[in-house]
Amino acid sequence: MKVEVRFFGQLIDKLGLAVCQLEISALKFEAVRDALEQAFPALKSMSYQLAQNNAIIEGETALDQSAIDVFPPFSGG
Amino acid sequence: MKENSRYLRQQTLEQIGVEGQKQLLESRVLVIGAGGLGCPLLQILASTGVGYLTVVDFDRIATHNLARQMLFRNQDVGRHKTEVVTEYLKAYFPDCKVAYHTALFHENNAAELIRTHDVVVDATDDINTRYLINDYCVLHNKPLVFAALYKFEGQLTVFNYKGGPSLRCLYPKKPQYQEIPTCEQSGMLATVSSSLAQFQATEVIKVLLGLPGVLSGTLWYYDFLNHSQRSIEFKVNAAQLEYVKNKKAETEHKIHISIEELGSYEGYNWIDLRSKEETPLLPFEFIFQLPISSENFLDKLQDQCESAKPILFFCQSGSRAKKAQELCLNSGLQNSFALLNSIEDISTYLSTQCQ
Repeated sequence: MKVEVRFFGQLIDKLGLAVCQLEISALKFEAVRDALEQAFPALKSMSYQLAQNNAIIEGETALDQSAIDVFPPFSGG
Repeated sequence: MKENSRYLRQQTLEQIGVEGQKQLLESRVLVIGAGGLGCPLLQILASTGVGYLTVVDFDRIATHNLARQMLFRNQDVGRHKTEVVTEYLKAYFPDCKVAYHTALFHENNAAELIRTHDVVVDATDDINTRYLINDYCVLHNKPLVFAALYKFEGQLTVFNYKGGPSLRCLYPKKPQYQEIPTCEQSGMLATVSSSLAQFQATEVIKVLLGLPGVLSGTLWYYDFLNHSQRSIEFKVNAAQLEYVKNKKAETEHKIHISIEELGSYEGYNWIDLRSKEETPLLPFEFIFQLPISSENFLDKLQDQCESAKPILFFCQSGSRAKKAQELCLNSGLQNSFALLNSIEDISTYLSTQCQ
């Protein structure tokens, strides 16, 4: 199934896009992360968090097909 | 308390009142960073009547600061930010007692600074310093009001508030040095940094007064270009808090590094501290030779180095590298490491990497 993925901050510049459609094998955190890192290998070494429906998702979080937000840490000030 | 008409309008707010104002006047806030976020934040906290402010910054005012760090005037260029901020706040806000610390916030001063304040504000621009501040706030159980930006986007949250999550709960994986572009590389607009600072200051006041709705466990994100926003919930990560409390995080705040930890060799300003007679020679054009005994060592160093990259000192065995790194730290020069491997290992590493 496909989910929409939205990038934020420096990820938009690093990956060269703000939104994409991602094919995932299951509605699970690992499936999203693996598909994402396969599509964008640069993410593997980076720090980021995935969120769906305005909450950070982790190992056991139950997902639906709403868009996934990918937030990197910012440090400017 | 004697009626102070200065704060009359805010005292009229039922959330503040005379008692709340008294509380603010007795509060101690530590503000780390007197730049794009720090300047407007310090100004508004002082004007609101926060009684004690301590500002920490090592930096001097540069002309390119003036467009967004509006407490500074042309004639202040070259002076320490801490001194000028303090003069300004004392002149305009007589109720506010200001102390300053002209130094890099680092392990040697972190505990003492954080311990003696009610709330800590992270207004820095360096991710390593941000993790360091976070860890000391966890260790000393102090609320930390965090704001950070990237171009037109801002993030705001309050860490470590009444048992709430910390920076490491939100981002357990600490970013590598080159992962986040600096403001120097990405740019910054005054309206974005000062707007975010006002929100940050509001969280400080809410925390000081115990008002409801503190952004604990919520990362507020705002995009000033398209006005999209998110309030992302996140939870305590007990393993991360334990990691900090067991002092395991300390090794991360290090200033000493080994070749295994470097990542790409291209991400550094390589400084060879040995004299010309010492062997083996490392014939790589990206290495700058600057013996530690050179006159005006720090000036020459700064002339030579690209400021976007950390400095990497090395020598025969690492002892001069440690000394040079300490020199940098004491003069507020951020982002330098001492490479502690032997020259033979460094030579082998570079020969392999640069093939």
